[in-house]
Amino acid sequence: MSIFRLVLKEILYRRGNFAMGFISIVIAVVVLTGSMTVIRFHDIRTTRLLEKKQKEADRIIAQLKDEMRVAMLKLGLNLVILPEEQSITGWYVDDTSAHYMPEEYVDKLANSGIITVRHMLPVLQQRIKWPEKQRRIILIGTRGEVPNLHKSPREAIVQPVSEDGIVLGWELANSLDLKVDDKVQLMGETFAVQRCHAERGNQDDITAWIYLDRAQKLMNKEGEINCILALQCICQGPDFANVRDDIASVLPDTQVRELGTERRLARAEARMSVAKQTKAMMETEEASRLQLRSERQKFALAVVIFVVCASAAWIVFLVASNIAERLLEIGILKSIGYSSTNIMLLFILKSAIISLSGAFVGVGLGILLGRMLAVSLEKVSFGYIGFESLVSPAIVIIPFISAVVLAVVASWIPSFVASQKDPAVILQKEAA
Amino acid sequence: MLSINNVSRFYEGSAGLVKALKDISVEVQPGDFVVVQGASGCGKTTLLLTAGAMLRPTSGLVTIKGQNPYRLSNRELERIRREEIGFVFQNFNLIPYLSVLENVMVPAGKATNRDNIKRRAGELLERFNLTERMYHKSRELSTGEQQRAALARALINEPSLVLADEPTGNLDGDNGKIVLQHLSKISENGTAVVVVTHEMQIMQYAHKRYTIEDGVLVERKDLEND
Repeated sequence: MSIFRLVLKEILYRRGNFAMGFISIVIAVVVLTGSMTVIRFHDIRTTRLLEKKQKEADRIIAQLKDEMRVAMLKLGLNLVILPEEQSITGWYVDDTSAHYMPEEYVDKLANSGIITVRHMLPVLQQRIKWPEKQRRIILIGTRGEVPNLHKSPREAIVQPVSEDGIVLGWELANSLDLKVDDKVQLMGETFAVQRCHAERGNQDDITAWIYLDRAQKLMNKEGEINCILALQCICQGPDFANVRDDIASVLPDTQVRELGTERRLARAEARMSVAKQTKAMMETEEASRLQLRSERQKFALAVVIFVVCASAAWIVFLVASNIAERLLEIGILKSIGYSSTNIMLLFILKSAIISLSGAFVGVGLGILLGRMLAVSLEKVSFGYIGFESLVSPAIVIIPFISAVVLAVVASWIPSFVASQKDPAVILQKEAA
Repeated sequence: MLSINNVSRFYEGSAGLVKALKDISVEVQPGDFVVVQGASGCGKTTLLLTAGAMLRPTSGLVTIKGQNPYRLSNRELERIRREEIGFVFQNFNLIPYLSVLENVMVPAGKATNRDNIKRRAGELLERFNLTERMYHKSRELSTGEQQRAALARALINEPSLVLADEPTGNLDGDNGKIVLQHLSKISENGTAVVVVTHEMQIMQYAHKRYTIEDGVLVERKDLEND
């Protein structure tokens, strides 16, 4: 007769012993599975909450973007119009254009009737060596804003330079000790200092502005400019496609670039602010859920450890009492040739069967009770997370394996002690 | 078949060293029906367990079919217990949760084909008039039936040696007689039978009688020549 059959027969005979072991395993597995279910429920809910928050944040960002677009309609957009052949790399590296276009382009633009471009400044700009002062400077020739002839005049945002005047950047004025009304020689021509700028912290500090005609003569570029500044243009959206299209329709052999403006800064700041707020909101929510999970996990762990230990002790007791009850049987089986391993197997196999059947019931019950508890803790409806989402392989497999390991380990020592019993001693006692 | 030469068995008891067997020698041949007699506590059961490869002697030599079981590996010792020896106890010692048939089949383990074991167990139960009781649990049997079931269990592996410890001790006269007749038949079929008892009615079946007093063999008598 096989050991397995013997074990089954014994289980059927001593149903009480089996039932007590079974209940203890069911309780341990219910607690373990239930705890895992609550934590999994928590995790799924956290994911859903965060997804919901993310969607909400996305909605807010979209709304803010829209509001920003509307608000920025009122903000000026600063552009620079360059000759078409000017390379973008050259422009950004040197900050000046190496190519030129006719000065009349600015008048053409001003008379074109487009409304998006407002303040226009023709500019001739070069990096030069100031021979009289032995300094490298940026020399800009400009004649002030060109008015849009079809529109009512606006207040100029850049003050023009007079024909005999020169405007100096902060660094130049300071280092050369020049003040308003001082006379200064530039490339053999005399200029009166018209204005000295305060420190701007950029290349303007080493720039000198003179009247455009005089600059064209000094640079041998009569009738030519190398860029047109278009300030505070009107933009319909987050980019300036409409302005670019307007300019291209009037000056097809030019290109348009955006300058660093309040519009771009405002847009970047708004985006950063929203992103920051969103991130903070998500982090707060995540941290709060993480904290709650940690607390629940700690509590569940304590309960699981207590119940598993109690269950293990109870199994040890049950196996030991089963062994005591079956001592004579052990003696008989050994006397008819059963090995110590066979005797151990009798008890360990029984524990394994108890644990497997207990785990089978315990896992089902644990998931059901865990879900009910989680629903109550999370204050959501019972159908919030279905069984199909809640039940994972880990929730089933881990309690099963744990139950078998628990039962086998707990029954190992008493089973080993039983297997080492001397049949002669048992049978002698029985005979006496 | 079974040879016990100058065997002593001592152990530490609560009152000091107990000398359960002192320098005992017993010789059993195939087909022998040997009775070991003596009062309760004289060492009969100790001798039986020593002969049955269950209790290692303190000194002396035990051989079963020329092999010293106490020098064998555990696996070999278990094989000898299973295949060469059949035990019969005073209290029958049937396993309570098994049917009579299953009790008889237990010693066969799973070494042989289950159908063969079942057939052989059925034959034995028929031989001991237990066919109708084969699916009953042991507690549903009379004491005589239980002891006959225990006899069938001892014979399932066709052992060459049957060791019986007071097999009629818990039986009435008629049942005791039936069991002894069966043991006698077993020995007539070539199996050596050793019975330890203090009862006298067994003598009519015995070939040899050994008498023990306080662990010492005081008499050896060949009854066949009487």
